[in-house]
Amino acid sequence: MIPPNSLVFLIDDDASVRKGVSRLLRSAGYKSEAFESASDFLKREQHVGPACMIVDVRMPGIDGMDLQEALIQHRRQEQLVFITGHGDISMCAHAMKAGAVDFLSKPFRDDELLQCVERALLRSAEERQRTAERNNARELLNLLTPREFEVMQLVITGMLNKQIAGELGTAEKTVKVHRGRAMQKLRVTSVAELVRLVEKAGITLAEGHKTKV
Amino acid sequence: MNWVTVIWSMGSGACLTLALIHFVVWWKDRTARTNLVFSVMAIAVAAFAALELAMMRAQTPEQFGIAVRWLHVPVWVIVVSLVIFVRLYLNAGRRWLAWAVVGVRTLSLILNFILSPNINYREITALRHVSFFGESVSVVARGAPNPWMLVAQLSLLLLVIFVVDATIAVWRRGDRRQALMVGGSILLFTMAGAVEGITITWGFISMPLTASLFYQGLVVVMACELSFDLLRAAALARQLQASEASMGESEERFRIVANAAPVLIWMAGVDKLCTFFNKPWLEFTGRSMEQEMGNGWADGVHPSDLQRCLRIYTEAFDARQSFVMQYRLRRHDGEYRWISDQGVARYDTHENFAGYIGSCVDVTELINKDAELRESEERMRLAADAVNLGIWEWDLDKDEIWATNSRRALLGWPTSGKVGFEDFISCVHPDDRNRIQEAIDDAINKHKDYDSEYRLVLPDGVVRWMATRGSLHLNANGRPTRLLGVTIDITARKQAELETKQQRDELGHLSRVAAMGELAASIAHELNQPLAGITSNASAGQRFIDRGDVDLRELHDLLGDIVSDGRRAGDVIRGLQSMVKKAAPNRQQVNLNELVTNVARMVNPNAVLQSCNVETLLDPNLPAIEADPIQLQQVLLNLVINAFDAMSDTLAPNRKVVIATERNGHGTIRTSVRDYGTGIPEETRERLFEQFFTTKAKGLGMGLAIVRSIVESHGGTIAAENADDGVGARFHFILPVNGGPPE
Repeated sequence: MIPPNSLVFLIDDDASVRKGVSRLLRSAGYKSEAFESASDFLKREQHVGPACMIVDVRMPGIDGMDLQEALIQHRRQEQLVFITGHGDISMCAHAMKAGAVDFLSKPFRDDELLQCVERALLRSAEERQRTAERNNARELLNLLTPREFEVMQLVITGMLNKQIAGELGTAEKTVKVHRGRAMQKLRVTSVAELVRLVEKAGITLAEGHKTKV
Repeated sequence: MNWVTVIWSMGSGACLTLALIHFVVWWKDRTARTNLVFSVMAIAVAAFAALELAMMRAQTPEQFGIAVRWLHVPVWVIVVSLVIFVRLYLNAGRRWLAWAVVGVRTLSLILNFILSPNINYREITALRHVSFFGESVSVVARGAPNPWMLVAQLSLLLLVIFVVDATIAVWRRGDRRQALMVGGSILLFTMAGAVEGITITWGFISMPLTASLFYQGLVVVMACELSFDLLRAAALARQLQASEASMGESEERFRIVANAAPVLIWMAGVDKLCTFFNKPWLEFTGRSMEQEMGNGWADGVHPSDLQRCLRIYTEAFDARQSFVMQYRLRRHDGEYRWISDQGVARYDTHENFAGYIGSCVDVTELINKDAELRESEERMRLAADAVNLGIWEWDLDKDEIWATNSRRALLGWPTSGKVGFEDFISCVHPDDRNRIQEAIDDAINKHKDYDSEYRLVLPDGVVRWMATRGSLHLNANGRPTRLLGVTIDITARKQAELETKQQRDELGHLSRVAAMGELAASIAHELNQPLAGITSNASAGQRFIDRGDVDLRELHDLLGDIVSDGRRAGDVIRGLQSMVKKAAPNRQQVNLNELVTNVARMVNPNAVLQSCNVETLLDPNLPAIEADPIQLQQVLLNLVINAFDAMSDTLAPNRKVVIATERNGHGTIRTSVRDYGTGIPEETRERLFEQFFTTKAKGLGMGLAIVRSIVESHGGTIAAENADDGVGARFHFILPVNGGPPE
């Protein structure tokens, strides 16, 4: 299964490898683009769909590992498959820890590479999905006023309105109003739903409030 | 009073006056004997005149006779005076004639006083009075002339001959005025007097004797002469004074010049004692003129030089010869300095020896340098002989070769005598002659150094290998005039080279195999790239076919790529084989930069494995060199792999190998491999390039030894050092552009 709008990038300084692998990808129905060096690739604008990158480890200029680091730093969602002329365990381990999909030795079996590509594209698609949800949740959370956000933070810890009012030094009635407005803005109907939304947004709650419980 | 008395008295008086003047002159200057003689003569002339007057006044024949007799006394004085005057004043006249005149005259004077009444008359019997200048004077009226009178006449004749002879001599000498004035007047007036006396005495005419007038004329002429002399003397004295003044001035000038001269100047008088030292001398010795005067200067001469110095000075002085001597002279600071002293005799304006003048210069530096030069020449000769080094020089203009004695002996040349280029080239092995000739021509035409190796065939037929280096010397116009150089016997080295060559080839093979083992990772990478291409293409082809969507053109390209990848893999394999097989060295034009780039690529996989960066720093303007590319590749591979090994303890981010090429000047290229490892321990550095020396657990100890043998077979050198910044080591080898000696 090929996720829609997916694209495979191939970065290798060896022309034979570029030609062969490009053909292989095409024969398997993938769209691909090949680059001679990492810097050529970085000049291209970011692809807006699931993306997989097949990267040679050792290249003149920016090598594969450097490229991986650069992509992580820029929070890019391209998933990397490393290929190398010689298997090196330490480098392989390093690459995998940093989130590479796989690390293949040349010459590799065709299905081995294609499976890696498929896995990478799926992972890329998932990653994109996750990111979209998180961004959505964050946008909703941004609609809250600071007071509503404060109240909401305490609600998800399981406090009752009365407890929250005590915590914030205000009337229970006021808390109730804030809580209702926040729920409405976030388009949730239950506390359980509220908790899931905050989790999706990936926001960790302020420690201070917990300790005051 | 009457005229006769007046004239005769005045004449006498004038004579006496002149006599007095000249007597005073003589009195003041006793050397003026001429003046004394003149003075005496003038007195005699005065007496003569007085006696003449007495004759004229005589009343009786007796009185007359006595007067005549006494008249002969002043005549004798006049004659003798004249003779002496001529001798003294004219510095002429024959001595015997002079004596003859004086002798005969004296004889006549004696006869005069023996005979009665005198030599002129036998007897005077009567006088008579005649009128003379309005006065009545006595003359002989009757008397018999005395034949003895001829003696007196003879003396006058002799006087005339003497004076004529002297006058001619003076005339011939060139003093014509003197001859005419003095000689002429003496002749004229004496002859006139004599003729008058004879004619009167013999009674041819009757008149009183007036000869004193002639003699007075003579006195006047002579007085004039002497006066001229006095005037001349005065003029001379003035000139002398003037010239003395100018001499004083020139002496002053001399002193100024002497004091300004950059040399030390001394002067000595005829007595060998020094009379003058110029300022530089006095400043040099730091002593005063008074201290140095005479023999004072000798105090400053080094005691061990003094005797020799004085001997040379004295001997040269006595022989009036120039001299040059060296001695040590104490300087004002107490240091003895070597002085070169040159003395010459000096003469005054009259060419009279006036002493010596000398000039000295400080030659200490020269003498030291000279000694140093001799010493260093000697040292060099000894050193050259010790290492069997021949030193030679070829004068291009004269075609003359100078060579050390040992070299001449080796070539069988005589120890002395001219040797030219032909003599040399005939000693060179026939196969090498053209090459040598070309190398020398090249050096001369292109103004560069001469450097070559050749074989000499010695007189006993033995062939020896020589290495020679010469440098060209140009004259001021930039034209080559001399070729100067050294030659060393390298036969032993050549033989050793030959023997080690096979050994080295053998080892080279082993090392290539070893290097291949170490390069397994590289080889794998080189093969894996095309293999990855092949498998990918082939798989793609299969998939296209399986999908049933076969674009034939696509398939064609695909298969074409597979074929070229296959070839590429084949090339890699062949390259490996060439490394492994025992190939004969193959010299060709090699671009070191390309070679370095290739090696850098080859070792890249190893570098990746060891987390090491390989950088190259290439000089873009590198000339191609003549070398065996595979051998050089081996050298570089060895060095780079060693560099990797040296960095096993280095932190990964710091691991780096830098391969650099650069022109090294002198037609050589320097290639260096630098690592950032532990560096070379001092104790192993010296043994680094030895065979079987290794610091690696699994090492054979062959790598660097082979590397060195390869570099040296290319005429190059290799060395290792720790990097300047203290991190890691740098191996560098230097190769000549024109290739090493042919194998």
